[in-house]
Amino acid sequence: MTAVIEANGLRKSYRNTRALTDVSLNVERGRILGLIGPNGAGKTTLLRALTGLLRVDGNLSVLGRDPWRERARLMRDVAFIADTATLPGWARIRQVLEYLDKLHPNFARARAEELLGATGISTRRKIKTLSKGMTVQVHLAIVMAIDARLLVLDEPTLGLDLLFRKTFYTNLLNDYFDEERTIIVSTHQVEEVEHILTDLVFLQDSRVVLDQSMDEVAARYATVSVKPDRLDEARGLKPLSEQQMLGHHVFLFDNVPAERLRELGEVTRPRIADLFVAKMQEGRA
Amino acid sequence: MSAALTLVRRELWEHRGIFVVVSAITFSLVVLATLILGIAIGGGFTNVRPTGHADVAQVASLGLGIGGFFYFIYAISLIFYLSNALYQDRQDRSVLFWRSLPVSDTATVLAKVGAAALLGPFIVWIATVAAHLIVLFGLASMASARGAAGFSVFSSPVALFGAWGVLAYALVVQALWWLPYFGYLLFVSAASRRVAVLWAILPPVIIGLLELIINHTTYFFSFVTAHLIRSPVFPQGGPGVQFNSAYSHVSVTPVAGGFSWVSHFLAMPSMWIGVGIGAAFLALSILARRYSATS
Repeated sequence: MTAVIEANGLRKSYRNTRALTDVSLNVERGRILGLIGPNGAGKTTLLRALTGLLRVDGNLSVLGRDPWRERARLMRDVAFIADTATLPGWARIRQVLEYLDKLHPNFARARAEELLGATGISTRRKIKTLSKGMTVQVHLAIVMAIDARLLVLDEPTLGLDLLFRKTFYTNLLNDYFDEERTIIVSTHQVEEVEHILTDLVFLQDSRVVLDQSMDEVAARYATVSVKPDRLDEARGLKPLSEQQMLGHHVFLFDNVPAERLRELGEVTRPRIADLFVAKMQEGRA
Repeated sequence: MSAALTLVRRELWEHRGIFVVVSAITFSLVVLATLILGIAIGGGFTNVRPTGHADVAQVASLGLGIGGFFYFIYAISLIFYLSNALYQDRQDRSVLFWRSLPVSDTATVLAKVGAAALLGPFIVWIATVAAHLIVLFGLASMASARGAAGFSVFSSPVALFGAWGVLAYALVVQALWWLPYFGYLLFVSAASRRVAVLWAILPPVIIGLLELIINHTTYFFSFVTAHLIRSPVFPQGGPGVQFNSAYSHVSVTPVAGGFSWVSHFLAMPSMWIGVGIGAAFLALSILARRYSATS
């Protein structure tokens, strides 16, 4: 009923390579979904299918519409940052604002100007004179002035320095996100989105290998720093991964009762990066 | 309406060089060249009539000649505009931004052809009127300096407004007449993966050569070039200079002759066949735009 994205059995291939194999996805309103995967796993293909830029096989509905057939109508309610550098270099910022003001029914120019004012970037400047970080700030300001129900971000912070990356997600969370909106973000820099996600999807070789809410992830997976005398016992419980760090043996377990794990050593919530690495290796095996 | 205007304005912002700068340079050249020529041949209107009225035909054909020259230069720059219009943004990836907005591919393609067919000619028309007035004023001053009633050229509104009217009409009909070329260039621009300008030229050359080699005929070339050259703005196939004779053989005055000359294009079957071909290419451009994948 409140599904923002309903995808069933999506398939797409380019020549000889498969970009999506039987991908299914359900995203509800008010969620922030992280789409994590190595390069070439199909993240960009999936996001472009959601925004109607690409035709895929299977059933796909975004906000109740078919993105391929109704792209222009759908994009009134969907905002998309495809990349760090897709704003037109020849344009002045105020020209982009003017264009959106006239053509986008859900764009609030005053809001965009206010957000841009906070960045200190003059709207008279041409996009091509801006640094990469500034361009992303401008794009984010524009997108945040769009009253969209779904925001799609494809590697929005790629190639930016740490400062910009931090403020990017902070601004998004503080000044934009609410329970009426939904965000789907792809990245391979897991650490920087980890704390904002409500849902997690891993893609590997065109397939979904994990699709869970962060609560489920926390309930199901656990990292244990195993005491030296319990190593064999720990290995017997089929850990997803075992790492040696500064003399500690750190195990990642899937679906092992917490009380059992506590006997082995100190139990902590797993980091997504570790879970990701373990899942990818599992998939390769 | 304001949405459509904004879409076309966007083209003006992006391609100022083609729509404004080229016309501005042509404008300076026309004004300078005519005035220098006027001085060189010793002074302005030569055949000011005994009554004091300048020759209507001369005033009008001067304006139409200037307009033809402007449009000739504009038409050359259009090749670059159209073949890059749906290509450049795919190269610099900004297509991902444009297509993330609630603007249909149909609206985008129509805005490009609208800019080429209406916005550009409108600027050409303004520049022509301005250049015409300045040149007339210059030539009239020179004639007056010689003691002739040079400024009488402004006493014939029929010559002035009539010529500008004919030019405006011719520019609109011209856009329809050339729609197949506009559509073809846009299609190439939307479909080609690299060097759109090259792809624009190669296929027609290859088709023409194949016909020549296999069939020993040149119907394709003749059709393409005849339709290109025989045009409302450039009677007799050359820009500007031949306006006088071109219009005067049609009718008594260039103004009346000009209107009927332009109108006879609308009555030609090849006009409407061309419009049909142009529309088909535009439909293909929209489709190609929709399927254009960006890496």
